[in-house]
This record gives sequence, structure tokens and C-alpha cells, in this order.
Amino acid sequence: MSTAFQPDAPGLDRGAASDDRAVLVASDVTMRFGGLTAVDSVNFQVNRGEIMGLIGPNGAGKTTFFNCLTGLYQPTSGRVMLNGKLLPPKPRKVVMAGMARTFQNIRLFGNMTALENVMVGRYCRTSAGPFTSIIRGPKFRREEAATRQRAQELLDFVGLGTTTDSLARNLPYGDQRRLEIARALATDPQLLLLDEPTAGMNPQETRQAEELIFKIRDLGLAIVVIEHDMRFIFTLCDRVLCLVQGRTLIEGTPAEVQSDPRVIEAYIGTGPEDAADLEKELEA
Amino acid sequence: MSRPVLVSAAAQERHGGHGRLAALVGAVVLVLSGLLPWAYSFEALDGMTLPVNPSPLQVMGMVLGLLVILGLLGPRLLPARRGRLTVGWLRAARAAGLGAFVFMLLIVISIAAELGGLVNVEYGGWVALVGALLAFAGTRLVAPGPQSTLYAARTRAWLELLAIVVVMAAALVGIAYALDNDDAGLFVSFLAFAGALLATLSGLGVMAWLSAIAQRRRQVLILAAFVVAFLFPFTQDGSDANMSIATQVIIFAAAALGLNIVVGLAGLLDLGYIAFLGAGAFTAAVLSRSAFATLDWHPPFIVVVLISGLVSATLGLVIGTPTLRVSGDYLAIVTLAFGEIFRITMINLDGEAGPNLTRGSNGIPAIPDLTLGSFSFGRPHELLGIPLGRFSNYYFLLLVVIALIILVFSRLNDSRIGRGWVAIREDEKAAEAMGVNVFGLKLFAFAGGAFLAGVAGAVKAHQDVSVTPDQYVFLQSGFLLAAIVLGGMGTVLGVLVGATLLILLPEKLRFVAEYRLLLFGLTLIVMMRFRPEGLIASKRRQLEFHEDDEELAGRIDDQIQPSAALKGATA
Amino acid sequence: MTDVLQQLVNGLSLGALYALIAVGYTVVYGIVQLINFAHGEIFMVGAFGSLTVWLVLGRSSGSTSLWLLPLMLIGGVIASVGVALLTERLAYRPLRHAPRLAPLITAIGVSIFLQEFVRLFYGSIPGFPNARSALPYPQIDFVTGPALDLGGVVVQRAALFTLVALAVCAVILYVFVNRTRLGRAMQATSQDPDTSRLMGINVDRIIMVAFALGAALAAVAGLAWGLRYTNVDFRIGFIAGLKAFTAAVLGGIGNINGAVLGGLVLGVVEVLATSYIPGTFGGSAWKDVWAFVLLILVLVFRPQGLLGARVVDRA
Repeated sequence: MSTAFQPDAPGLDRGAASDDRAVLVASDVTMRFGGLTAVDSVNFQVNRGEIMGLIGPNGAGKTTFFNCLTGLYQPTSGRVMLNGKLLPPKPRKVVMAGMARTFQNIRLFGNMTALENVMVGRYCRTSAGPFTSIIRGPKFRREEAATRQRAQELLDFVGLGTTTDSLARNLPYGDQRRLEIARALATDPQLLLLDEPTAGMNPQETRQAEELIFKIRDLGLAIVVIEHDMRFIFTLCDRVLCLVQGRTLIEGTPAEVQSDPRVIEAYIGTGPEDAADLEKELEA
Repeated sequence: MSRPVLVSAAAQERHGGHGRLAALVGAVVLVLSGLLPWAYSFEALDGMTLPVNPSPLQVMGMVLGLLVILGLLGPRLLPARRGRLTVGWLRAARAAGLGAFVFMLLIVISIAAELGGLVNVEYGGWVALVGALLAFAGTRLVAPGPQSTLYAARTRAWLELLAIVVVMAAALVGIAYALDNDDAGLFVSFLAFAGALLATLSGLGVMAWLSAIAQRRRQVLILAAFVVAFLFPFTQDGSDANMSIATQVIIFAAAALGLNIVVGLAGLLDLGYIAFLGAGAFTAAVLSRSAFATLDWHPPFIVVVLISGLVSATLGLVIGTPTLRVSGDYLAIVTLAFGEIFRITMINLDGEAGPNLTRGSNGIPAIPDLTLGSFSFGRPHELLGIPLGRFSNYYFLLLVVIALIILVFSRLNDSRIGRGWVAIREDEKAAEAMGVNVFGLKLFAFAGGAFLAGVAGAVKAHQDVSVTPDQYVFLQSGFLLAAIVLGGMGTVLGVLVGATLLILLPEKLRFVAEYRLLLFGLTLIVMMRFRPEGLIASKRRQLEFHEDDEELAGRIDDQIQPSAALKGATA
Repeated sequence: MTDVLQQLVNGLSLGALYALIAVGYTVVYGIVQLINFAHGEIFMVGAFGSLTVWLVLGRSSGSTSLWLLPLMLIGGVIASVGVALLTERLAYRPLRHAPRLAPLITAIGVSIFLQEFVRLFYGSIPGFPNARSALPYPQIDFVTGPALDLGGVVVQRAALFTLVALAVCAVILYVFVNRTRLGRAMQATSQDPDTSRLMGINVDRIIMVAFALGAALAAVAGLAWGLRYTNVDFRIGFIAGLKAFTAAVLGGIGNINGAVLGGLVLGVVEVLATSYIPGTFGGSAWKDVWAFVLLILVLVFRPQGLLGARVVDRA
């Protein structure tokens, strides 16, 4: 991967982090909707080069917490700091501050080509305004060429180098997921949030997704993954946070979380046979 | 949305052979019938009474017959082979067959209407109609065959440039012919012929090839188009009648292009756009040297144009800032409401209900012609020995204005901003989540479109000589929108075609003047049902309007791929 | 004091007209997310429908007997519902899954078509007057005539009729939506059409019911309009429709109670603006402007309207 890909590009405001490696710090985040407490005092920290997993049964407040992390919701109390600064309240500012995300149900720009989709991701890092675009001076040409080149590099990086001019809606499902990741990477994030990236994937595609995420991690990004595929989470993640009913059940390494009976109980139930089945599956 | 199917595929398999035979016979009959008289009297259409001396319309009929024959025999003459590009012969034949039938129907009806009765259609005309009917019915029984892949052809540069020149010349000839005649029947029949010709070429794959060339040789094409446009007044032989229509078309097209930025590019439904045009026109009127102008300040025209643009743009900012945050559906109604507010305000600023700025419903008449230095636009003058009247002068000015607008439009379209707009159209929330400045881009489109409307309005004020509030009512917004929607959203050519048709058709078809609006409403309904992307649609728009059409998506994907290989650095 | 009351009564009766039309907008939008641009014309068709009944039955005798009223009402309802169902079936249904722009343009086309159709062809029915200019509307006994004086407040009979009509329709509407199967099916469809379909609800039929319902109420409004303004014209649909949509948004789009409330509020605001805004921007010349300014303010500061919108976000 060329040096053009710079998550540490100058101009990105890193701010002063409390821990020099911490990218995202959520402190005591609580989210209340009227009388319902969806998220209750959750603490969460992601460091550079780390892959964090976020698991929990449905209805556990995962999505709500995730939305607090992405700036879609304002926490009722507690705060989220990105690179040492308070998370901006608007999705666009969040992206510009260095956090990018993918969507659970893929939201690509279907009638644009793969390359164009990724080029849209470069919007917030480029600056050609209306006058520049109309007059087309050298600055414009340089920026367009750079955008195009960078988009192509990202497509190559995620393994979609040959699909440059294919319409996004015509791509196979697995490729669409990768395209979404490429598009998110185009915004030069330091933190990448992946919302159920392997939903609907077969084992081979899942493995490819694993490799891709490791590659991204190796570039120095921090990554947060929400998933239901336990094997995927435990192979991939450095640390895992398990949310149940809005509260942190356990946070730790995959091994710690995996062997905690409360986790199994939260997902499956309290029957001993079920627990044994799940353990067997996890060990496989 | 599915297209209606006349003949099932099974029937086509069984009767294909019979169909081909019947169509061939019909086409030959049609061609031969051109040598027979079609009408009883010379007054009908363009004089189709002489045997062995076909009038232009009869020649057109013969051409359509020849096209059917060509389409049906093509697969024999140039058989499909592996490695060779496919030509859509049969599709072309089918299009020509349908076109021929519609054409002949219109001819027969026109003759009857103009001479008072079907009895005035001579035997030749009936023979031609029967031939066309056979050709049509026969080609319906022929399966369409494979899609053409001519768009992938790699042709020599000189051939491509020649093609552009030929197309431009044909367009010029066609437009001059269409404009020259006052006969409504002739005009409609000619339109049918032109449509049939284009559909046939499209079936063959020539249109796709031309469109690919247009992509590659865009600079040449635009230059050629402007040369043709520039030459047009010189073909009028000093007459200013058509130039008046031409200037109306250009102003309308300029306003429509501005609206196209708002609706076509950014996807914002603005139903009050006419207010921006009106604001520009009133500003120019108020600042003009008319005896009725209400302000005593008369800056030079260039300044007036800029001020008009800025006034409209400011209005756009004022309207856009609160309303662009609301959902698209509401935006339509709100902009409509603003259009009404504008209209009522203009009427009320008559000194009684409000300060006298616009003289109320009387408006500001007697706006003098523009002067640049010592040159007055109102005075006819001579160039290269050919006299050019008042409207020709405005025509050239408007060419410059619309050239600038087209430049702005296409450059914005093909830039970071254009991509942002497409993303917003596709999925606004996702675009926001990817860092696109959704609100900013929407506001820019809105105010930018308003600016262009203001500029166009300023010229319109001088050309129309008077400005009144009832020229700028909602119906005009409807027409502008229709030009875009019917012509083809998101493409410059489409909007130009739409604007031309909308101004030209009422002019040439005076006999339906009563039913003008009725037909207009009906056209909107029918177009949205069967071809919502417009006549000349950009590929992307076709995709957007036919979300469920997998085949279309696949086809367009293939079409994009070859041209990618030819894409160099951004122009 | 009586002056304010007077204005209030005037405003409410005007607002009742808006309310009746607004319900049609809101119900259709709630189910298919379509702003039925042509709904104003449906109202106009309803007015012409009731006029037609009188032309057939009453004109020759010059009668304005009260017994004609229910017949006129039926005539108006048949006309408006018929046209509404036709447009739904032919123009809107094929476009149900098309991008928003297509049905909106179609609606504009339908609106223009209907206006022109009435203008051009109403007079061609033998014996009918030409509709190119306003046609006088019969002033039916008892519901029109000398105004009533209620404690110093002058109330036009037609205005009273409008208010009563709204009240009756509101009750019928409430019962229909909340107490009948069809009404509940409508509510379900507007919340989640796919699931409703799975529950066995014929969504296409429900949509037709929604259109018919709106059209019927618009016909009542048409009748009331004719009685109040003493004439009908092919153009009345445009401004009335725009104002009615304002009312629907004001009350909360998709919310039937909202539409009624919004209509009444809008009527009052319009009348108050006419009488009480001092200086240059008051008076009847500017009243429409104020109504639209209200629309814009609502959309900017409270887009969900007074009572809250009832539309599921389909994004």
C-alpha cells in the first residue's frame, strides 16, 4: 500500500489525548429515552492499532450505544471523546474529526460506480469549491487526479481493483461490503466502526473480511466491530465489550469473555445443555 | 413499471417468418407508393399530387420503407459472427415499422383535415398506409433480436469527426425545415419522421455509438454545436419571425438549465423557480431606462445583469436556508408557496398595498432595447451581406449567456460538487455519514440556480419589452419543470430538446391552441408513466428511475466499461 | 369583544372549509407518501358535481328548495370520488415504487388536466353553461339567506352550514377510522403496509378507500364553498388546495385530527391577519402571503406540526 494512505495526514486534528494511544474514550455514557434507560454508564476505550469488539444480545442497547459513539445521539449523561476532544454533534463533523463507519444494511450509492462511491468518501478531505470547479485551474486538476488515484488505491487495497467502473448495485454482496469499507477508508479516519460487517457472509467471505480488517489495523487505525458471529469476534478482536440490557456485562480479552458463563447465559439462556452446546461450538 | 407488450415472444417464434415476409412486402409497397399521388389537391401538406415526383414528405415515407427493408435484410447481408460487433438490425426494423405506420397515419389524417375529408386522400396515400400497416404488423411478429454493441466500436478519428459534422448539418437542415413551414400537419408528420429515424438509428446501435463519440470528442461536439447555432440566423434570409421563436427558446432553455441544476443535479424539487426568473426580470426592469421605471438609477447592462443575478441568489438563500432542511416532499410545496408569495408581493407593490416598486399588475412596460456602447440591440444591421433584425441581435447575446450556463452546468456536474449531488440524490443520510456537506451543497444548488435564473430574467426583460407579474405564475414553473422532465433530467441536450419542443409545438400547432394546457397535463401524466427519465436521459437517470430493472443495470454496466478504457485524465 | 368574536367566527368557518379539504391531503400522504397535488382539483370537481345536480334538477324550475341539498351533496361526492379513484388507478398506482419525483410530476399533470378539462368541456354538455368564467351557484333555502345575529355576532348561514358540516364529518370520520374494520385497516396500512399485507389487508383497496374518503370530504367542502361564495370557477382548486395543504402540515401531516385543527387555525389566522395587521402589510391583499408565511414558519420550527405527524419514515 503506497504512502498515499495516511491516517495520520497533517491537518487532521488529533488533539491532546489523555492516553497517547487512545482514539476513542467513552466515559459513563448513559442514554435515556423518556423513562427507558437504553444505555447505562458504559465505559469504553479504543486505542490505536486495536480492534475492539462490541457484542450483546439483541435489545441490549448495542445499536443505541453505537449511535452515541457515532454522534447520531447525544448521550443523556457521560461523554464521548475522540482524539481527546468532545465528539461533535453532527455526523459530518464526526467524519471530519476522524471517525468513519459502515452500515448494517449496506448503504452504497447504487447507481454510481465503485470508483465514484469511494471518491465521494474523499469529499471531506478535498476542497475544490464552485469557482474552482468552474474555472478548472491547475489546482482543480491536481485535486481531481489525486482523488481518482487515491480512490483506485483504496479499491486495490480492499481487493476490488478490477471493479472500478462497475455499478455498485451490480456487485456481488461480499464485494459491496468491501466497497463500503473502502468508501469509509477514503475519509482518512483514525477510527473505523464496522456495523455487522459479516452479516450474510459465507465462511470464506468471513475469512476474507478478517484478513482485510487485520490489514486495516496494521495501518495504524483503531477499529470497533459490532458482530453476532462469535468466532469472528474472538479471532479478530484484541478486546471485547459485552453489553446486556444497557450495561457492561464484561470487558476483556476474547478468552476472558468467552469463558465467562454469564455471557453464554445472556445469549442463550440458563439451561446447562445449551451452555455446553455453545461452549463446544466456541471451541471448534 | 413495465412496458406494454403487444405480441408475446411465443407468437413471435411461431410466426416470425410470416412477419418478415409481410413486412418486406409492406415496406416495398410503401417505397413504391411514394411515386404515386397521395393527396387530391396541391394545398395539402407539401403538395403530394404529382406522380413520379415525390414531395419531401413522400420521400420521408420512402426512406422509412427503405429502413424497414434494410433492417430485415441486414442479418443476411452482414451476418453476425463471433468477434464482430452486433448490429441491432431487427430492432431497427421494428422501430422503422412502427414509425412508418404512425407517420402515414398522421399524413392521412392531416390530408383529410386540411382538405375536408378522407375522400381527398388519393389512392397512393391509401396504398402507402396499407404498406406501412403491413410493415408495422409484420415487424411486430419479428423477435427483436440481440442488442447492438456498436457503442464499443473503435473508429478512426476522422470518421468520428465526420459523424459529428454530418449530425450537426442534418440537425440544422431539419430544424430549418421544421421552422420554415406553417403547416401544422407537415410539422407533426416531420416530427414523426424524425422520431422514427432516431428510433431506428437507436435500434441499430448508431445512437449509442454517437453518444460514445460525444463523450470522447466533447470539445469538438460543443464547438460544432455552437457554430451551427451561430450560423442559424444567417439561414433565415433576413426574416426575423423564426428568430423571435428562437430567442424565446433560448431564454426558456437557459432558465430550464438553471432549474436543472436544482432539480436534475441536486434532486431538489423546486416548484417556485419562476419567482427567481421574475425577480431578475423585475430588477432589470426597475433599473432600466423605461419611462415607467420606479428607481432613478440606471447602471450599465453588465452591472444590471449581475445585480439581477445577485438579487435572485439572495432570494434563493433567504428561501433556501430555512426550507432545505425539511424533507423533499415539503420542499415542493414550500417553494410553491414562495412562488405565490412572490407573485402576490409583486402585484401588491403598486403604491397602494405596498411601496410602489413594481407598479402592481400593470408591471413595467416600454423597456428600451439594450445598448452596448453605440450598438443598439433594437436596430437591425447587416453582417456578411445578410440583414439581421432585432431578434437576431438578442439571439447572439443569448447564445453567449446560454454558453456560459452550459459551461457552468457541465463543469459543476463533473466535479467533487457534482459527485456530492449524486450522492445526496442516492442516499442523503449515507452521504452525510461520509462527510458530504449535504445542507451546503443543497443551498449552493438552490442559490446558484436562482442566480442563473436572475441573469436570464434580466435579458428576458429587455427582450420582452415589458415585465408584468402574470408572466411569472406557477404555470410557468410547471413548464420549466416539464422541459427538464420531458426532455431528460440531468443532461444538457435533453433540457434543450425539452425547451425547444415546449416552445415550438404551441407555435407550430396553432390549431390545438385551445387544448394546449390540456394536452400538456396529459403529456406529463403519460411521460411519467412510460418514460419518466425523459426523452434524452443520462444513463444514471435511467438507472434511478428503473430501480428494479436488472437487465438495464447490466447493460449500462457493459456500456460504461469500454469507455473507461478510453478515459484519460480529466478533461 | 364582539368584534374579536366576529372575526373568530369568520375565521373558524373559513377554516372549516380548509379542514375538510386538508383531511384528504393528510390521509393520502399518511398512506402512500404522495402529496396529491390534484386534490385541490378534486375539491373543485366536487363543487361542480353538486352544481350539475342542481342544473339538472333545479334549474328549470328555478327551485332552491332544501330538498335539493342532499341530492347535490350526493352528486358532488360521486363526481369527486369518481375522479379521485380514476386518477389513483390510472395515474398514481403504476408509479407507487417510482422515485418521489415521478408521482409528483404526474400529480401536477393531473391537476392541470382536470382544470382544463372542466374549463373546456363543461360547457359542451348540452344545456350546461360554459365554465370558462365563474358560474353562479344556487343559493339553497335555509342554508343561505339572511344572516343570523347571535348576540351581536353576525353569522352567515352558509358559514354556519360549513361549521355544522365539519362537525358532522368529523364525528363520522372519527367513528370510521377508530371503530370500523376498514378504518383500522387504514391505520395499519399507514403504519406499515408490508406487514399489513401479510395480515391479509388488501393494501390496494385501502389506498382507494383513502382517496375516496378524502374526495368525499372535499365534495362537502365544494358544496359549502359554492353556498358561501355564490359561485364556482375552475380555478378555485389551486389556492384552496395550497392552503389546505398548509393546514394539513400545520396540524401534523398524516394526522387526521391535526388536519382539522390545522384548518381551523389557518382560517382564524388568515382572518385575523386581514383585520389586525396594521400598516402596509395588512388587509386582504396580503392575507394569502401571511398564510404561506405561517406554513414556512411551521415547517422550519415545528415540522411535525401542532399535533405531531403520523408518517413512518420510509427512508
